[in-house]
Amino acid sequence: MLHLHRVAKLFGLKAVLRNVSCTFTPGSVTLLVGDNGAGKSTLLRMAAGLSRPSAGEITRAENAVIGYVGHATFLYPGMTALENLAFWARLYGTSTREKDLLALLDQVGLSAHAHERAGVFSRGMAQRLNLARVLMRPADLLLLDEPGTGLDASSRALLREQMRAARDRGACVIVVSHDFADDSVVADRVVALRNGVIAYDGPPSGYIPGALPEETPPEPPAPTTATELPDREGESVPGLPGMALAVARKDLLLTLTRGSGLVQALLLGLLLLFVFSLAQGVGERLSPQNAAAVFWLSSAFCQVLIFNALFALEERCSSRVGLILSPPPIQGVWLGKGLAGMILLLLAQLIFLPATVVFLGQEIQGDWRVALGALLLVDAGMCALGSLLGALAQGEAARESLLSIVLFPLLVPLLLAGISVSAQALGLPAPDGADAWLGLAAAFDAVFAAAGLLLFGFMYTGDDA
Amino acid sequence: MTAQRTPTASPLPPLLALLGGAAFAACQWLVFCYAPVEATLGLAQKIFYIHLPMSWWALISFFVLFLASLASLLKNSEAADRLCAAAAEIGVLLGGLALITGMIWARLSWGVWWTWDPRLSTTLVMWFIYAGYLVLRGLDLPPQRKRRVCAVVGIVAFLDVPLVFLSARLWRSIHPAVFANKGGGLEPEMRLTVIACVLCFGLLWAGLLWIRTRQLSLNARADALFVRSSRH
Repeated sequence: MLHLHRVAKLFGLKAVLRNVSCTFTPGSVTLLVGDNGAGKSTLLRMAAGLSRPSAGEITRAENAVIGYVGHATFLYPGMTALENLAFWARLYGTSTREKDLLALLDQVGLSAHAHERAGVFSRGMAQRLNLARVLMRPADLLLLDEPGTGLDASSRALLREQMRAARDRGACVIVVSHDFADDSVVADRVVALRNGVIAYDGPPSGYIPGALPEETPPEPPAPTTATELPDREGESVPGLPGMALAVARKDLLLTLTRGSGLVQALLLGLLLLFVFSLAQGVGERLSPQNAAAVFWLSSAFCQVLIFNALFALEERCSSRVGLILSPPPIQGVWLGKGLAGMILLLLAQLIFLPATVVFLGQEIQGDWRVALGALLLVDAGMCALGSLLGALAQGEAARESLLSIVLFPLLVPLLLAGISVSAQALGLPAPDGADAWLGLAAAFDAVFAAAGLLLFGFMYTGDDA
Repeated sequence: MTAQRTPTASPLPPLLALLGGAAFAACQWLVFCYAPVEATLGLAQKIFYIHLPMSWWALISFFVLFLASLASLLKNSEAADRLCAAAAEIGVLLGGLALITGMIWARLSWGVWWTWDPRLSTTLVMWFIYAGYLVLRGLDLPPQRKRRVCAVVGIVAFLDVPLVFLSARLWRSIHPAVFANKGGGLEPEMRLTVIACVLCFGLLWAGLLWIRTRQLSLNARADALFVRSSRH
């Protein structure tokens, strides 16, 4: 199922794992133990494919379904337990019928809390809900990183019960544990790490915590045959559009009904329009071109706040790992967030447009169809790039300003196109090169749509995922 | 495992930079004694001989950054990442100096410090893009993540440059096209001088890039030694 051959992992020149070789077989529960910093979580993350080894090879059974439970629960606090499960079910291609989801919640003892928001759940309830997410798509390789941390006795018992059930149906279960006494009850094998090397590999009965031999155990032979995986014909894994729609739907639900991201963006945009209106003297009004520039400036600021908010949704509950491990291509996140961002931006512009007329004394009198075409082309480009770069500063305190600093100069061609074409809708004669501007905006969209598809995977995944 | 090669104490990079600096200094003879004084702008036109090489080598720095970003992303190469950092720093420095000299030129030639000229505007937007890139490089992100993110931004930034240039050109254009029409109106002596300046500045640029890349390698090695010694 999973074979590690002479695996090493360096962070800089610091070796976290050195020359680790072992094989994990189907139908087994392995406890991974060791002191803090011994390399257990790093090994588990490499097993999940979230991090690449610096040396050596990791081979997994082809198409193995990986279930991963870490410290983070991948739950969106603004959504109910049912909505959370429905979102992950859409990504996994499993049933989204309420009856099936309620049955899953019943399995983890949460059916009475199905319509409560996950944000009010205790740590134990959240971890149970997380377990329901994993149970939704039975894993061939189940990786659990200290899943019992902070859980009460009944939740830990439920966890052990699920480990047994997974082993009995042929899954390979690897558990990072600091609770050897409790977890060894279900374990078939213990692998102990010390200073990045395997110090013990054998049955739980032979392992005495704190009394590890110094020498490395002999290297196990490489598996000679590929492991057969259970048939999963009934499942229909969604493709790129399916994932994009699921992500966009979830983001819109959270932003429009449960969050304040759009409200902040709207207020900032309106404030900008109002401040520019102060620059006009009594009886004066900004030229259509200047008014269009202010409109697009408000839109650009709004866009930065929208994408910061959309990516912060994943950051808040560390669901990035869950999205990376879900079966559809990760570019679905780029497309979904771009789609959600564009809808939110258009909604904001529906308010900015009358505000431009009111605050900046403009009148809509030109050919609005060309302006609408420009609006859609420019918004699409802004969202393609915003969705690609939105992930660049996840976890950084300065991410709002950072995204603006990186994004604004890149948007100059689009903003100029938007200003040039939309100024005529506010009364300027149609510019000579309107077609050229629209062509430029379309070229921008094409270049950054391709860049998004090709580069988003590099941006969103990585060794710290 | 990525092999960390110890940077050798080669005298070539500083020699190259010194040679470039000396050659560029020698070019000043061409600038002030060989090339004729321009009829309209007078001596002030001489700024052109430093403005043009800096603009061109800034652009080449960004192209090197683009290629190194591709290598960094596809080969997961730390050396390519260090080349990215060096090229970005030198590109932003030269771009900034090109902007300042360009503004002085604009003031003397067109009577304004700034104008919406495609090349000036493109240089300014590029400067902002790559200054943002340097801010990103300064963040305290995990090294491997930072390498990836910077490589993506390095690629995206270069893809944007032609679009910025086209948009600025559509907006308005009054910049003299230097070599557009059989020399763009330059006297043969002026043309020879500007070519010599560009080539000599290239030596200085290569030396600076080499030195900075080596400094970053040594810095990485020093960090590694510090980590190793703190563990023992």
